[in-house]
Amino acid sequence: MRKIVSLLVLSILLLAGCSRTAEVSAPVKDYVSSTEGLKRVKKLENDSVREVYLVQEAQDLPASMLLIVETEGYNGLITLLVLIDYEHESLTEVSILEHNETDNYGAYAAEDWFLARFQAKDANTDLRLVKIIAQQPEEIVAVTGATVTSQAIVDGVNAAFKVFRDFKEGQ
Amino acid sequence: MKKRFFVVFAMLLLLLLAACSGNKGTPDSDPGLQPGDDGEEIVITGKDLEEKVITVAEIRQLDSVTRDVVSVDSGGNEDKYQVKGALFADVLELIGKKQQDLNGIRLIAGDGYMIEVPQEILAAREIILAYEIDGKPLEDKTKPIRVVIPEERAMYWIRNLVKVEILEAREQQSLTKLFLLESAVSALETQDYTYYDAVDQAIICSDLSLPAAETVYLKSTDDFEKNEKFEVFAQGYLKISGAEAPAFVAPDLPKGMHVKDILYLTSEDVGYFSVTKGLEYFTSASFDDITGIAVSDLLNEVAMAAGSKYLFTATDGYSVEIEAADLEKGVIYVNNDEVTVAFEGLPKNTRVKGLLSIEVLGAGTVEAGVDEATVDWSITVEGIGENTVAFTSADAAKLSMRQVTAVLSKKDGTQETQNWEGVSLKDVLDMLGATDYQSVIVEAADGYAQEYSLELIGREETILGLKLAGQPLDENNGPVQAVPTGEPGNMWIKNVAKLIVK
Repeated sequence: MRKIVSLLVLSILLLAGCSRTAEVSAPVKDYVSSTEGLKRVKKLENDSVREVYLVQEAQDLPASMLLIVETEGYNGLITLLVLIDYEHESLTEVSILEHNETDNYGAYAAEDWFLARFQAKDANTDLRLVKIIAQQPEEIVAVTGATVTSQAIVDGVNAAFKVFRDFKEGQ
Repeated sequence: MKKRFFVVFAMLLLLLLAACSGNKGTPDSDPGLQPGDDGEEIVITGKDLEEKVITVAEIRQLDSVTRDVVSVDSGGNEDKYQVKGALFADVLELIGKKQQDLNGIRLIAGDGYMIEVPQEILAAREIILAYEIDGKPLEDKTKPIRVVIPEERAMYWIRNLVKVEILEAREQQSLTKLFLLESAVSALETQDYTYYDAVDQAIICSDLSLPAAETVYLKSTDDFEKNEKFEVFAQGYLKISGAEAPAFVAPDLPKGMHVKDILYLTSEDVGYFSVTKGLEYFTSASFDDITGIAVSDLLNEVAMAAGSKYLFTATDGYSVEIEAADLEKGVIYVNNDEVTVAFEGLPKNTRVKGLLSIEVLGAGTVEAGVDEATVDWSITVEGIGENTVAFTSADAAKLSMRQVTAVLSKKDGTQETQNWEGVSLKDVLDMLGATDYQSVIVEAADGYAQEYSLELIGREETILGLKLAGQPLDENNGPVQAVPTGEPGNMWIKNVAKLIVK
């Protein structure tokens, strides 16, 4: 029942904001197939979470929250795109939009195999960086030789999770 | 009113002038200090050396050098820089040391990264303590100093240098026991180890049966060699499966300290050898339907001690003793995932499946007929004082024996790695009292000669070789052969008969 109410609220919010596609940034436009059903929620944004959107369920996407997050890496800011499944409250995808990490070290953290470690993580639990092997669902194993970059991505995803949780609690 | 205005104006002018002259005074009081240098320093330590703290400001006051340099990392990637800094040799002078005289140094960065710079690099290379790169001060992560060693790999170019340890001379020790890694780890507890996109298997290094020593020596299949502090090694992992295995890895160590594709590692007189890597590294040996690694190649490579017999032991405890003379007949291979050794022409019961270790029996003894103690020799030495003197086998016995792994470059372009024992040419000259010389001509019994430069003589690896692969030299090459490690074959002089000091 709670989920139905949540989705209903999301739909109402999206309907109310359909005309605001002009506020959608270029990376987000590139990511979604259409800006139809996309609503930016500026009141949720902060210094780290630069953009927050609610995404209506479409053919290729579940109803989601999409966030653009900036996090401090080893060689400057890393910009992440984080997509959280609204209904299942889990991370659908994290991808890296921009970074300046060094090829032999931090850049490995932008590889698909590392980012895949975040998939389906529960958005209600902060992630924790570990070394060698993950023993708990919320643990992410750092890339060999790129601990600072790995931690930055974990921090960025946790910042996105917090915004998501705050939004849901406010419903 | 006008007068008051001029008084106020004059006072302001005086204050400004005073402030300006104060600024001019700062560089005079400490000309080396640059913005951001405050508190920046490196520490130099060593046995029998009082810890010396040197500030970046002091380093800046030394003569500066500017060099265009290219760093090359292990992946072959090149980066070009212009660096400015002081020479490490000049810093050493402050504490009464000479770079060329050091046996080695360990560079330590603020993040724990450390690497040894061996004597041959210290003898031949300029080491720059850089405080500017491309005309700009170092970034915070690189401060206080970045080490730059032109012509050497980037692994030595450490950022964030905080400490330099001056190392003592280290005698290379022959092995008395060698474990075959694949068999040895089968009895150890393994654990999952996430390595990039894979989850591989690893053991804890402290589980290996290595005697505690100052350092552990590691050699990779690409001939990369490294000495790692024993306590650092013991806290790491040996990744035994997956990409780049065997690899020394540790989650808390900088990636640059990892060693991949390890051929073997040793501590004191015990080693571990990877048969899997050895099969890639050595030219294969075979007999009947068996193809693998020649036992003699393996034992030469790891500098196994000479002995009268060798004990080959399996993981199940089965063991056989093999005469030293029969080692040439042995081949180590992998059969049904088991490391196995077999000897051509010897009974079948000498075949050992699940080979765990090879151990020297009677180390230091040599079979009758090759007893080197009975072979006396003498080399004529000219150019020290007015009279000709002799350097004899009895003199050599008083000097410390050095073991070197030398690569002999042959005329046909091929290379051969050899394990030599002998005495340092420089030790010989020191013993004979040679002090003021620029070169030495090394002459063979047949009159063939080559001139060795001061730099070549100064290398620790330039020896008068007395044993090859643990055995005295035969009459074609010995009893003494000059071995200038790293030099082409025409510089290696067999049957050394005379040294002319110039």
